[in-house]
Amino acid sequence: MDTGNVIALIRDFTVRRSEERGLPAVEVSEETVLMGDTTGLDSLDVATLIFELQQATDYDPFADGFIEFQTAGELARMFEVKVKAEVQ
Amino acid sequence: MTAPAGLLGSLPPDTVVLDGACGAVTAGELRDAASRLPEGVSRVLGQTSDARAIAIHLLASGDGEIHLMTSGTTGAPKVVRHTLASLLGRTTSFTGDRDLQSARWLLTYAPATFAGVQVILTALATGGRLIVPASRSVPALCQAASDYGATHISGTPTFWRSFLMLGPELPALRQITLGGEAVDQKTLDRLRNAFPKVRIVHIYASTEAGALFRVDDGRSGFPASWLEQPVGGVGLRIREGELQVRSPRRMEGYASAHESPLLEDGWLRTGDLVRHEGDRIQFAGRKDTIINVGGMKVLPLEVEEVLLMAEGVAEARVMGVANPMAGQLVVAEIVVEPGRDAQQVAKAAAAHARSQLAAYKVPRSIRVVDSIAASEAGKKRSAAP
Repeated sequence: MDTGNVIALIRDFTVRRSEERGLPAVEVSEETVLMGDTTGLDSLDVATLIFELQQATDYDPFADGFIEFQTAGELARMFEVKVKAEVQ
Repeated sequence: MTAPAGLLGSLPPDTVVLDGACGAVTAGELRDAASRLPEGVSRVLGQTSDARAIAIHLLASGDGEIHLMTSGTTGAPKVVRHTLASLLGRTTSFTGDRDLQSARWLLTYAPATFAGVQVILTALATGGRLIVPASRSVPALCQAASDYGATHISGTPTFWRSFLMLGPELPALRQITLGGEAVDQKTLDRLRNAFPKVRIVHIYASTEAGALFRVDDGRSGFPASWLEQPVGGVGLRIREGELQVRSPRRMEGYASAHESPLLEDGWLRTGDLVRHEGDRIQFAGRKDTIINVGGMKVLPLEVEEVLLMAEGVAEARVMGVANPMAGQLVVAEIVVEPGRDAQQVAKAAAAHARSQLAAYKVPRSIRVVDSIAASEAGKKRSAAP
């Protein structure tokens, strides 16, 4: 799984959230700030997004503690670490 | 040995008192076996699942203590000290009741648990017969109930929801008792529809507090007026959302090294959180099951009750999963009623939860499973240590 695939999962998630709330879908790129006005996601949504990424990748980048992130790309790269480890 | 007050009464020796997987056991056989055991010593019932052996030990207990073990999810089991008198409670006042003399009780609980001992003692004290199933799987229990014409069945709400899915025909059934877990209104209503002529009661009891009260008006929870007026000698009060009780049938204490729920004024903490709703007190959940979502408290029971109200949901279990952002998140497992589209039911249940619950209480994932395993005590979740 590369960053692009994780970004696709994040995009999926935001589309579903928008649908549930009857709001227009937002474009998500690597630079998109996850929490706040752009995406309409709150901290509970981002917590849920992390949960879903953990389930999809069977990996927990936060196992040793919380790591700060702001953008979709930063979050995606944390999950990408696992892919690199598997290739080696 | 001296026969304990009330137990087996003056039953003729050839009366069958236990039946089912243990074969037909008579009152005479039980009395003989009990008379060969030493009297007045403490007995620990936590080591056997043999209902016959437990009945014999109860008969032989005399004035000695009876120790019951409660299993936690982790850590050492609690050992709870009772006497035959505290366990029997008011049961012996029903001795001679003709309705109970012809009763056939199905043992759905593990025999050595508090609930199991209550059913065994009730059968022995009232001259009824105890049906011991070959196994405690729900299909085996239904089969035994049907084969032996069970008239009285006591089980956890988790047991009854599985039972309703199997839909057995039990023409002899006279009483349905729910105990061991909080009862939700939908389960009561479904039982009422399935068995319109059967008496339905739910009981409130715990290993520590003993038998407390029974409710037979078909509504979940209990009347708020009971807070003012003790019922059957049991005092009830609410402190910081938790139900506290003053019980004449409570334990003597723990034999194991656990913090006692007994307070200095003689009341006992139950660990059950309750809420006042109009003329009713409803059980909100166990204090030790609270899920903490970003500092907000969620009781799994509330979420389970909402999921159970959704169309096509037969059973639901809610739990917390660790989450780096929120501390914990709420997730759920559901069992779908037979013949339904699982994904559609899960979607509808999620939408129902979103419409009924604050966002932090809504399950972040709803997984469809074939069954939700009950603990040894027949409960959806084991008691916390």
